Amino acid sequence: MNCGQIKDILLTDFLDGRLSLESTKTVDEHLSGCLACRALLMSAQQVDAQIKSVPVIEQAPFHVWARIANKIAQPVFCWQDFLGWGGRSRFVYGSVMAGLIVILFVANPILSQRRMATADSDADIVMQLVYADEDSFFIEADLSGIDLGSIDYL
Amino acid sequence: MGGEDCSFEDIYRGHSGMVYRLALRMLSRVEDAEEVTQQVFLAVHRSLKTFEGKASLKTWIYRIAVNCSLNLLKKRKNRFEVPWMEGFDPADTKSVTEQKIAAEEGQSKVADLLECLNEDQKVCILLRAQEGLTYEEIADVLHINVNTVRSRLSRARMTLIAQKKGLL
Ligand SMILES: [Zn+2]
Repeated sequence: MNCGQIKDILLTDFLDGRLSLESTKTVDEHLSGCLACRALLMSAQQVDAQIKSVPVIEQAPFHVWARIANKIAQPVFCWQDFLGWGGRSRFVYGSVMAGLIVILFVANPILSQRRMATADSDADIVMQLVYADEDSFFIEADLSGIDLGSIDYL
Repeated sequence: MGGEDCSFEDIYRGHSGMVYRLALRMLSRVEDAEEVTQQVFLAVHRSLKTFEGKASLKTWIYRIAVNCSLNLLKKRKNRFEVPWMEGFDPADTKSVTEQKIAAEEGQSKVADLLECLNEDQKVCILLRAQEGLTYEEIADVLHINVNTVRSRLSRARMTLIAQKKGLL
């Protein structure tokens, strides 16, 4: 194995301990006889050590958690949450809404027919009232139009 | 460890350090690292219910941290490319940055050293040398294959060695 082939292995698999025992032996043999590759390996180890040498930070600063906790605690209005429209319930809601739409389409003509029939019968009753007791009907209508201030005139 | 098994606060306690460390190294500014940490854990909180545990929680959080850091880095670069539009001097910002890092870590040399790497190489070497992730874990975090991780690490170390020799 020459220096060119070994350089890449040194900077990756060898340095990071990913080589088999047998391959490690081969590289070690090359290193024992090659100053340039030993120097390269040492430089790579120094670079890694420098990156690793940062003071250990086990936690982010406390005020970061305070900010996050504060944000999470704020209620955020969301229509999906309001309707419970998420995850598994989406299918159920979809079905219910589709059902309602179908019912409205089917029921609308029936309802409007019934409304027309009701309107007819109401008109009939009104007319019957007018003709049956014309006087009392108009008296009631007149009284209803009079406010308290004009009662004295009657 | 699945999302359902422990509380959000436990997850934060167990992972905020790694997110903050990575962001601090990626962005070199305490304020930006705090911003990224906040973004990451708000995203974790929002998505915890849908986290299916296909990846490990650690890998998943690292992935969000890398994405948030790169996004903020991109925003910051855009900001620095047109400093006259916002009326501040990038040299000022740099000296403030250096002071902050020196104060926070006493290690501005490392930040300078890493400046010579591109973002892909920087993420890889930080995940490996600083965070101690395996090649497979790094591949998982970045959605790349192990050979790509390997070649990025090789190039990163080569560049860092050259840079260090130039600096010393
Ligand atoms: Zn050699």
